[in-house]
Amino acid sequence: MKKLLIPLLLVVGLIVIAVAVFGSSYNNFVQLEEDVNQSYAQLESQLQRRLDLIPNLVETVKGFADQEQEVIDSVTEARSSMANAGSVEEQAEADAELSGALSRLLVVVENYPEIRSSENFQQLSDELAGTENRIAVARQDYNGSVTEFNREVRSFPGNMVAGIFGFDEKEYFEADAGAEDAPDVDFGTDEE
Amino acid sequence: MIRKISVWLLLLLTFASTAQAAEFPELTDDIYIQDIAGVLSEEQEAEIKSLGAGLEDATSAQIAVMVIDSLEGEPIESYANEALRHYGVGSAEDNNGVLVVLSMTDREIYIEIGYGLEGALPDGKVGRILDDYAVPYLREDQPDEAILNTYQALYNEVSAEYDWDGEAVSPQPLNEVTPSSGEGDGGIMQPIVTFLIVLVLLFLFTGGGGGGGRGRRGRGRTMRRGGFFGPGSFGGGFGGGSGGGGFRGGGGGSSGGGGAGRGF
Repeated sequence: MKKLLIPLLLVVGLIVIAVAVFGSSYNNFVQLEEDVNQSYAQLESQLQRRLDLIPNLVETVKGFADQEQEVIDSVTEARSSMANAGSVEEQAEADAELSGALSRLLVVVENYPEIRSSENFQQLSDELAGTENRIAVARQDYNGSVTEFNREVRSFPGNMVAGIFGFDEKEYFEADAGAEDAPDVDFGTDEE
Repeated sequence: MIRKISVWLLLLLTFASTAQAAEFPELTDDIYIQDIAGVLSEEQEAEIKSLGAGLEDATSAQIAVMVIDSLEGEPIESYANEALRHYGVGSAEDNNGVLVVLSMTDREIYIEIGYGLEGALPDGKVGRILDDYAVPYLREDQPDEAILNTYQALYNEVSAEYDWDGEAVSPQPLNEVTPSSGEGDGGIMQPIVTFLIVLVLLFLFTGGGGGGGRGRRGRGRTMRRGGFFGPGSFGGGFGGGSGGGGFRGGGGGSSGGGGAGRGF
């Protein structure tokens, strides 16, 4: 019986150490995942905020420049693909597309001094610029927290803990190059 | 506790990923005004500092200003966001900080609003404050007046948000400051101009004589030009003051890119 005691203690000791190491790594994962979720929520709310601003903006521009149908439609189109985007990657693509469409709209507006000087438009474009800026900051924060999370997933002992508890690497919010190019305008699209 | 640490971690992280983009000067005085380009007079700085300190004492909100020479190629929006986070303008609990960044050579101004004040100062309103109180002065080469009046306008908005009757300040749009002067002399020049007009009138009345009027007006003008060198406290000023520590820094506030900007 006594012979068994020392190996038993050793095994128990090892288990205790393993639990401590894995436990703290697990807690670390929970923490990092919470950060990722928090920054993602922030990003999503900013993306939503922009979606909410667009109909108003489009209406204002239409009021002055109905003939700029093409660029207005490209904004509406990009907006609805943004609203339908599911995964982070889809969202990032739609986001880039929408930013591109909006900046083209603002370029067109340059030709209409009466739009630019309207107080309503001035305010809307401030809100829009502020929101674009918030999205940029939120995206940076989100990608920063994803970097930290993914680093932990790949390094020891995180990789073992991640394997056991099923923590997978998170997706970055970034669009493929060229996603901001003009989308094909589909006149049949109904807006959401 | 864990939440606090996580926020902290997140902050550290964002610093790690963004801080190398811009080097921010170390604070040498209260956070409310950093006049690196040296456009404000000592009195103007003192006024901003006293407004800022009063506001912070009463509400914990901080309004800070940076007047810099150049952004060195960085977009002003991201410079302002990083700077606000770097200095931690506003309190850590409420994120109620505001940072005004004016870059002289880039001819751009941006106001970054902390998360906690986005309701009181939505982007559209910030844009209007810039249009009313900053851009007109900046176009007339009066960055000091632009900063002072913008600061007062922001001060009023933040005070109102906290239902606090702070010191009564009334920011002045440019055209109200100089109702008749077409040359855009305003603010500090105003008393000098008035003084000179009185002087010219005195000359006219005491000197008498019809044709002399024009010549004397001419003289008045050259004297006014001399007046430009009068308020010599314009640039320098800084320095001696409260160097030995004990000045007020940021409270750990953060922001997410809200606000508005203008070129001029």
